[in-house]
Amino acid sequence: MNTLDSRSLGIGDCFAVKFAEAGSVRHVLTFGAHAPAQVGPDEGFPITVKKKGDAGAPPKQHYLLVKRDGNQLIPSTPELAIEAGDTVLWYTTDPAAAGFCVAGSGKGFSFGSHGLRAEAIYTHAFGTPGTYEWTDPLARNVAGTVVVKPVTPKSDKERQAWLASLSQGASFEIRCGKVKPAKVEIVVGQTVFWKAWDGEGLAIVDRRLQA
Amino acid sequence: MSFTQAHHVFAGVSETGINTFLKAVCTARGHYLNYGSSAFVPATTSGATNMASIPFPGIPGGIQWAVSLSTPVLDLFPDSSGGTSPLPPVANGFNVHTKAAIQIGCATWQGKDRAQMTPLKTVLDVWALGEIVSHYSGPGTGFISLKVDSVRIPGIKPDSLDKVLECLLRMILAAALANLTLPFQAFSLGAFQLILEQGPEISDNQVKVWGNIS
Amino acid sequence: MPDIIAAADPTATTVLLHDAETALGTITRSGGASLGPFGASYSVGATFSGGTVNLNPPNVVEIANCNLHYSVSLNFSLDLNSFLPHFCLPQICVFGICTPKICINWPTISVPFSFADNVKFTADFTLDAHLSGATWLIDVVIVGIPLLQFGAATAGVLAALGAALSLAMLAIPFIGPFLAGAVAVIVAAIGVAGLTGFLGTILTPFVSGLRFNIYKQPKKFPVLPAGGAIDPEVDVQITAIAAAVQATDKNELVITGDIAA
Repeated sequence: MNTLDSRSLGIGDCFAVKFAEAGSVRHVLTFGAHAPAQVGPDEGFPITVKKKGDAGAPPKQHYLLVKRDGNQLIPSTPELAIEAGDTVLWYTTDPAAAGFCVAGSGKGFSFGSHGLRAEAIYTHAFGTPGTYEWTDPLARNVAGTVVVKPVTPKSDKERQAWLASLSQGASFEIRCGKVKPAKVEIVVGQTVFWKAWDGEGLAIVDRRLQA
Repeated sequence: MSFTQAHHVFAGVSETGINTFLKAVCTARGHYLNYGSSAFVPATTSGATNMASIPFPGIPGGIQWAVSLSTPVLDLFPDSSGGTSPLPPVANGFNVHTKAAIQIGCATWQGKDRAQMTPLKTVLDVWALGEIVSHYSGPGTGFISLKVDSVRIPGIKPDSLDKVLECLLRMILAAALANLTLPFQAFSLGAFQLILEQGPEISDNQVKVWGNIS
Repeated sequence: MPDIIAAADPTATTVLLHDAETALGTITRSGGASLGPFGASYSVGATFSGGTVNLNPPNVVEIANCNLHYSVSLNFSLDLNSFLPHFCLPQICVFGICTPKICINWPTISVPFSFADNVKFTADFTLDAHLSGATWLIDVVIVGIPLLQFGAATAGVLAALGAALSLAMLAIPFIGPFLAGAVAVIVAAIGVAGLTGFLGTILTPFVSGLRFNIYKQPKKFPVLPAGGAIDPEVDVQITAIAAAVQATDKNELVITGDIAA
């Protein structure tokens, strides 16, 4: 429902990739962790990365809202055109699409929510209080802790203060196999960001979901 | 006056009811009333009881005999006969009327007489006075039986024969009626399990009991 | 004069009644009913006990303060969007990227809830002696539908319902800060009136037409059991049974019967 697992994205989760080089990319949306290592030229959905027209212009962020149509997952813009340096962020608000995974590849590179690398970002909004120990299933030394505190507002004023706090979040950065910080503390409803600067690709998974 | 009086439950069986119960018992288990040696009752069944013949030196096989009582009819106090009964019931008691059939096997076996046996029967009109005997053993259990106190057989002469027969029939009737039992449960036709506190008493042509229920 | 007369005063009749209540055992029913603004499916089991008897000639047995014990399992569903405020995760920007505003659609949940309680009622019953097949029966049959008086425990049941609601909603993400308020609103929507209305609907069928059996004997009444090959069972036929309330110096339940060999 609101599980911490970058391989299975639900409502309140986002996955973002920055496309630094121009070229043709294709991406697929699948359920569960069954993501292909490479996406063929006729598979999935295209993202055309053009050369940057105005070198001085700031990079843009593009949103792809994932919805379920029958047995298929469809992005809101099936054929996306962006410029080099832009970021694409996948998310969903459709309960029927919950549990999706993003995977894609271009010339000489690949990406996926099951294997964060090269400045890819995963975000998760925590809906239930508790202590969450997360780790990469394939590299257990890459790990951290999120402490989610409960909130029980006793007045409208307290409720408004809590709602305002949701605009703030916390973050982990993973670089050369090291996680900083080791632990973050938030309140229920707030969002945590994970950014993987490098590596072969890691997943962010609640330790309780792993055998 | 209430039925239950100072108690919580009452059960009463009328004269007609008692006689219906007795008829049912005697019909199903006639052996309580019919006795005889092998010439008359070859074997004990539900209808009759086989008894030994009366041994007598020189009589081959002994004296064959039989005694049968008709289903007894009780008259609970007070007298229901309109004054015609030769032995009206007394307070808290009953009288019982039955016909006693006495048979012997009249045998011949000596000399040129062939061995043969001819049954000879007489039927006596028997009246008796009696009382209820209670056998209560706990809530919902127990029964009543009938005790015979005295017997009259009208019209027997001489007096000495009357006395002999009255004693004989008193013993026979007392023994036979002691087998005729009626459970307390029947008094209410199973409506409740009685804890007996008073009775059984006989009055108003009823056998009455009082008590509590468990 | 009937062959058999059996009489019981109010104290003994009360014992007969309590035995009849026990013999009736647990009656179960299931169905659907309104619980305030919600439709609920339910299954309920009921037993009867206690009460005191007043005998009123010629035919009335009043049972005062008879206990109806009931145990209910119900299930109702509610669309939380009707009770929770509209909630969205706001945009949040970290590492130079921003998440979108994501609005949460609250789910429709199913709330199971079980509770047991006791309600008293007082009613008149009439005597019904009759032959059913080969069995004589005397039943006391309720007259009309009595008022079921739900007591102070109803408020406690509402509190327990609130706890069940909390449990059903606890695992819903992001609901924590809204939970207490939502439970209060939902419980208030049901209210004491909704709960007693629901209980009245599901329990009235148990008392409507209520019948306790205080006498049951086969027409062929066993007097003596079989005692062996030559002593068969001795039976009489019960040819008639009647029941009434008679008043003298005290009121009594009088059962009369006739028999035949």
